[in-house]
Amino acid sequence: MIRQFRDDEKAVSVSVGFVLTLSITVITMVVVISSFYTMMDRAEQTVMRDEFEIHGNDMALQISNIDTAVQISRNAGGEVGSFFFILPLPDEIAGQQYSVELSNQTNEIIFESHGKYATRVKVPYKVHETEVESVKLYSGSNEFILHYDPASNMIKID
Amino acid sequence: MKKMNEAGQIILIAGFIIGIGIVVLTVMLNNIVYASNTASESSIETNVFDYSNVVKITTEAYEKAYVDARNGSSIDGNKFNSYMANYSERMIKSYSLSGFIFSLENDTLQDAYFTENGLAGGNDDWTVFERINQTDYFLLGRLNASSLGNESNKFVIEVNNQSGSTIWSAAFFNSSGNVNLTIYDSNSVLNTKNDTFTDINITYNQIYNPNDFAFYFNSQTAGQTYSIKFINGSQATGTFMISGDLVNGDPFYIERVNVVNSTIKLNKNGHLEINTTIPVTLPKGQI
Repeated sequence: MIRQFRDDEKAVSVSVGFVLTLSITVITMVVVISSFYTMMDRAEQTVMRDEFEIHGNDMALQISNIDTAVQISRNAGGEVGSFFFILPLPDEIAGQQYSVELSNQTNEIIFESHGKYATRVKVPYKVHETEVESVKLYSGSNEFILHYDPASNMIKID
Repeated sequence: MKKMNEAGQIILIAGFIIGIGIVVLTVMLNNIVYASNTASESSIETNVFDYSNVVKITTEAYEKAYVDARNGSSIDGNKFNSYMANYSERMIKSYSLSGFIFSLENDTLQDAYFTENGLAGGNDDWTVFERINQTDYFLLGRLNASSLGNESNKFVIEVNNQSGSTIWSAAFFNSSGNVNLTIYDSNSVLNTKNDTFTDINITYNQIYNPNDFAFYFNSQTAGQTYSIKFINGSQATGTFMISGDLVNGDPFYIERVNVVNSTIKLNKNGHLEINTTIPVTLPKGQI
């Protein structure tokens, strides 16, 4: 029987051919689909980083705006009583929640999603007249309000 | 018949490959469309320039309103207020075009302290002018013994030369209800007066009449490049006017009679609000 099978030059039987074709197709599909998922995941992280950079730059600009407004007021001999800016941050970016961290040690705004290093974006900011309060916030909680507290001379976010 | 079968198989395989190709292309295109569509627009707003303009324009409006309402040494309060009300109304209209809600809370005219911003809580020690070549007028008015600090908290006008040494100074303090004025050069007392005077003209050596009191200001500053500094400005209220020329030939002029503490509010689309208090010293010489 084995000999017949070995010497048989009529290729494979219909059933073996079907099994082979099916398994090759399944393996191919699994490989193709998993590679698509990897691609999708990478694209998601790229989108996140792009978005984080946009929002980070926006935040850095507003921090700088508040700092400049305080400086203008002080140069005119006055004081800023209050300054608040509602940041247009979405609840989710690329379908994922994220965190925003302000660090006055490194003067950076750090965005991150689910602690993944690949999604982490650091945007530097600069202040002269004021200080920025270090804080870590998570998206989806509430509106993000950037405001100036004249009592402590600090820019805070909540 | 056999050939036809083989051709059919090639068509089938080709169709299968094309099918997979279409799936791959679709997924890739979907990725691109997804990525480009979710990137949000940056909402960069340079509102700080609008704010800076508002502060500058409002300060100038106060100065113009004050000059307009000034009649000799008195101020027509109604005229001043109506000028500012008119200004406020126009600002509301013009700033509404760029999406801002502007509001100005007017304050009453107050007696000014000798601090940098004219308020009691302002910067105590400050340089009024630097690199002065010649002072033509140096007047102080409405000095009030009751608003002056005691001897340990005296208000001092200091003139320093380029190397930072004091070449002339005048100290004012409350001495039992009188104004005590003492003039110093670098280390010794040049002259002193203890009286109920309110106005003095330093460059004209005048307390009541011209040349009735030697201030030694002109002789001490002659040929020098100097700066005028106020120290302990919160320990005295009054008016002052200083004018002259700087080393570069430019004239300088500062006059302070009153101070008004104005509150400016700017709101944009409900997501930005600035509330600030700017003291404006009048009639001229905003720092």
